[in-house]
Amino acid sequence: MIIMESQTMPRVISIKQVLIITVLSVLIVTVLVILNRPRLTLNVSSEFNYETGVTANGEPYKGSPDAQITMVLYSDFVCVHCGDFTDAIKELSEEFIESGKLRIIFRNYAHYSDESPLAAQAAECALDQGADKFWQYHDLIIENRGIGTRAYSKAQLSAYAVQIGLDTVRFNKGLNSEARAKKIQDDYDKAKKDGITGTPTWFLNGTKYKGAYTETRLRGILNNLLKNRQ
Amino acid sequence: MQKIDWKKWSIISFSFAGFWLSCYLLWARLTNHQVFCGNSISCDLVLKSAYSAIAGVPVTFLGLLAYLILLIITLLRGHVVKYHDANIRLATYGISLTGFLYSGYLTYIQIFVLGAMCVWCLISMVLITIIFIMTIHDITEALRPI
Repeated sequence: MIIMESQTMPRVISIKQVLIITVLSVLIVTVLVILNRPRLTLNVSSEFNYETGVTANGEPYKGSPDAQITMVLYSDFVCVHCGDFTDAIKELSEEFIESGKLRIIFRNYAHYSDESPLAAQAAECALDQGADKFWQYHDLIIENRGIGTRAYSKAQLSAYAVQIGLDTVRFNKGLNSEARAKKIQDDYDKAKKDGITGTPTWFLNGTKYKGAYTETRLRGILNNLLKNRQ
Repeated sequence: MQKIDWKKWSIISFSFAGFWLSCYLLWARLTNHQVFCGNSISCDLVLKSAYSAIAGVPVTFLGLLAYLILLIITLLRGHVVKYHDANIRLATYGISLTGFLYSGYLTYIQIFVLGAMCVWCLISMVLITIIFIMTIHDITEALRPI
């Protein structure tokens, strides 16, 4: 019961007031939900300052095809080190990729965990809709990486497709496709035959490197290569 | 009288807990620490997901503000002129309703979109739900004719 003061009348709460507050709250929540719409994380931009494309073998690349250095990168989306390596490369993006000195060709080696093949398959489905979409998708998965969680579940992989504005019907069809899954397996078998045993494994103009080098170390190697080619 | 005090202090306790929980999550986010999550990194996935901020503002910060305001205005109850008590109840109801609905939405996002759950977010959901139930009780009480 509301206690009554002897001199001031207590204000009674009316149903009308409660309704107004309720409507206001629902409106605020709606606004918050709309503003919270998924969007790309800060590091993923929908405009690239470099070229993206697909090689004759159907592999996605980023950087100028005329670049002095070509990196062929075998990577796995679930692999922790690949994530670290991607971060290192990102730091060097302006210096080497945008300036036309380095081109990176991506190849799947889905070996790390049993979640790897599906993630690789999802990225290929993104590639269907454009090399730039592939790279956006690639960056998004890696940005949100986590192991032993459902970060690579079909639902999550589909959600990423929504986030970057892919045709989701087409994407999900590819994600469920047996033929696609087989291709990922074939890529794996071929890479294994070619001597790839782990990720990241990368080649710079044919020279093989293994492991996630740091930004500093990678910069050094790239600069050396450029100098030697002068 | 005792009835009001019991609810009031419950709201204060839970808001206090919620405030410190939000502080912890916000600190972890700002200093890039991994929150304690047992052996899983499910928490990190949620707390760093694309849904963890609104126009750049971390959701945990909004939660922190909500809990803080709830805490302050509930502490003021009984220490302000009686007719403000009604306004405080309405404000408490509004804030906790907003918090409850929005937490529900975020829980839905965790389960159905992210496929990962953060235990801290769950705890916050429980806290705000309890607070909300108490304010419902307060409101229905205040709606009764004198």
